Amino acid sequence: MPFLRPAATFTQALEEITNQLAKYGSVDASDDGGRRRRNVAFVVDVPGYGIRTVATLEYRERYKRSAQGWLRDRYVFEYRTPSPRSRRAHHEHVGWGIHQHCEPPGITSLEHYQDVERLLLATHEDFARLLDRGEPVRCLGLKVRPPS
Amino acid sequence: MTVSVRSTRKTRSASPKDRVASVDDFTFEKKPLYSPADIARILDVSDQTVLDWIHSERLFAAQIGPRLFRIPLASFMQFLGVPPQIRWTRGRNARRIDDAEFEWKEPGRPKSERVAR
Repeated sequence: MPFLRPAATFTQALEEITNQLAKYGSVDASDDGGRRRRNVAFVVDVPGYGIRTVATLEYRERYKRSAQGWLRDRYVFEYRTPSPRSRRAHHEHVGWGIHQHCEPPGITSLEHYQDVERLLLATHEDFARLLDRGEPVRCLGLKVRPPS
Repeated sequence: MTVSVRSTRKTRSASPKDRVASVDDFTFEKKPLYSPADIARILDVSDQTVLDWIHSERLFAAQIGPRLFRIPLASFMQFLGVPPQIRWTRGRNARRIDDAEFEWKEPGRPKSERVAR
């Protein structure tokens, strides 16, 4: 079921998200404020404050205007570590629908895995848990997903 | 609470009211995560005081075990009065994301491999 944000509280919700993300590093946030389609993006450099980056969190969403509010139709949520290189990602977009990616340290993979619909802050909690525990990205139990 | 503060010219010239703390003001070792004991040592308070701050939500910490907490650097800096590092780009200057860009990162498999599936 597509995720809907009420139009009246959209901007306020973005501010709240930004404040949550800022607890983990420096945040580069953008909102194009489109009338029919609206793109929002948050890139978090962890830990920020001029310290060497240990992880980058990227959250991008695209919304479509509907009678009820803003309906999300695309998202890209990414957790990346530069050294050793690893990646965990949850996506929804054309061609593949909802899926995830997983690249454990030192392994590059374009494989698409099955996933369920994700919400930004819940996904951020998952990514933050990896950071807090100092755990590497693991891909155990993921099922490969064919293109839709 | 005593925090190791680097004295700068700017610090001396600005009035305390106008002065906004900066990350460079603090000389303690910067690392991505701190334990409550680290914070207690840096601020010269007891571990229990730090735990009280965490439980009262004055200091944001991630709970990674029944009695284990980790405090991100950004959270600690904000606790010390350093403003959060947030840069907003709104309106026309914000990056627009079209379908092609969502697809861009994923070249997908070669056609032959897709047929094989």
